[in-house]
Amino acid sequence: MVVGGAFAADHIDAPAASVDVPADISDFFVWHDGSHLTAVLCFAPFGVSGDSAMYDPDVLYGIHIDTNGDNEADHEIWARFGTDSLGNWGVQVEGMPGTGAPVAGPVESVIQAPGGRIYAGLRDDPFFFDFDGLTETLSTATLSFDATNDTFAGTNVTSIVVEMDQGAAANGADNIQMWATTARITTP
Amino acid sequence: MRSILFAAAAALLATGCEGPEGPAGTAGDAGTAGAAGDNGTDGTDGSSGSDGSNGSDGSNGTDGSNGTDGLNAGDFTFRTDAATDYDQVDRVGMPVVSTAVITNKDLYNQSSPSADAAGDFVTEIIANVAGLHTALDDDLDVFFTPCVVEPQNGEADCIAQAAPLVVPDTLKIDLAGVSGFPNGRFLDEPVVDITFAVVLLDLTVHGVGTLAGLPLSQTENDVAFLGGFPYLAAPH
Repeated sequence: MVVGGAFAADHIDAPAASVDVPADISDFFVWHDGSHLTAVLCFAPFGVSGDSAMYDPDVLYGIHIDTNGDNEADHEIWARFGTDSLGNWGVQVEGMPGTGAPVAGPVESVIQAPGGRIYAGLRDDPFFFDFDGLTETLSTATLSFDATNDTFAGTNVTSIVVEMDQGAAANGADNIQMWATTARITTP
Repeated sequence: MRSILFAAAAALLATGCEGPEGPAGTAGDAGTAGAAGDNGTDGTDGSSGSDGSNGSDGSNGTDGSNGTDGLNAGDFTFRTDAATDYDQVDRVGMPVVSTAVITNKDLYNQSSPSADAAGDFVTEIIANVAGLHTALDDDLDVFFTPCVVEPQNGEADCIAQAAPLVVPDTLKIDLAGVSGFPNGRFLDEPVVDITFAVVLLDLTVHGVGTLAGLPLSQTENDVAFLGGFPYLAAPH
């Protein structure tokens, strides 16, 4: 059986992202319910029970919203982590649609924000899939899934959850598109 | 004997009328001292002396332990650098796109939706989708009607099906419609199965949920999601 020439089945993990764990996005979710738009950004996958969340003050997390279809962000929501004088971690979110000043508070707690709520902390990885089966399928060119295998069962991620006002996020549009980014400070 | 006789004779010669008393004789010598007497009984004790002065202070004891911290309401400090001072490391829109159909993953992760729309990655996406079909069509043919990468006879076109979903690589949300992948993405949806159906199957024949409905797929997370915000379950 011949596998396509440009097929990249042996490069499942993007090298640069997977070695920078706090900047390695595992998943991005967004849903709406009529009054709120909720975005979830998960990173640092395959966390083991007992390990801490991956808070890194030098990483900038971004949630981007394009409301007019030009593939450029009209809203940019930025999240950063930082510590207080006692070493406790906190999260700050700037650019919540419809608001001005940044919102900040301790991690592992629900933070009220204008138009919604924010949470950042260590969570069970919400992704479920036989990823080993996908890897096997792509490298052997044969369907190789196993229904009993959830590669992500028992693993943790660090997550940022932002609930925002749907109308303010959409700028009146019905169709929007969103994506998430991570970036590391160029010169620490 | 002659002296005593003489003295007696003198005494007899001297007897006559008593004369006046003579002067007193000189005192005799003192007698020798008597022996010392026994010790007298002890006297009573004297009163206590006054207190001595204080000794010097001892050294300090060890510090006590810290009291418990009060709740800190927010002297958190965060970087204030502009977004342009950071180098992009990763980006995600649609799930699994980079893994399944992108060859230059590092370049892709540092790129953007506008680059997607400009066609920067279309060639490799098409090549990889074609590669998936070349590899899997014989397995798919057993149960399904696959789409075709370069249809010649009006077959379902895989690229036409998949392109709106993955180019640009973003989650599309129709706020006037009901939420549900690929209209946004909730936590409990089998997104890989759905995405693969779009890329592999003829969607005029099969629904997007076809692969998700197979007994071959994981159907739910290992842990139940929370009923409310923040929705993700507590960590292991």
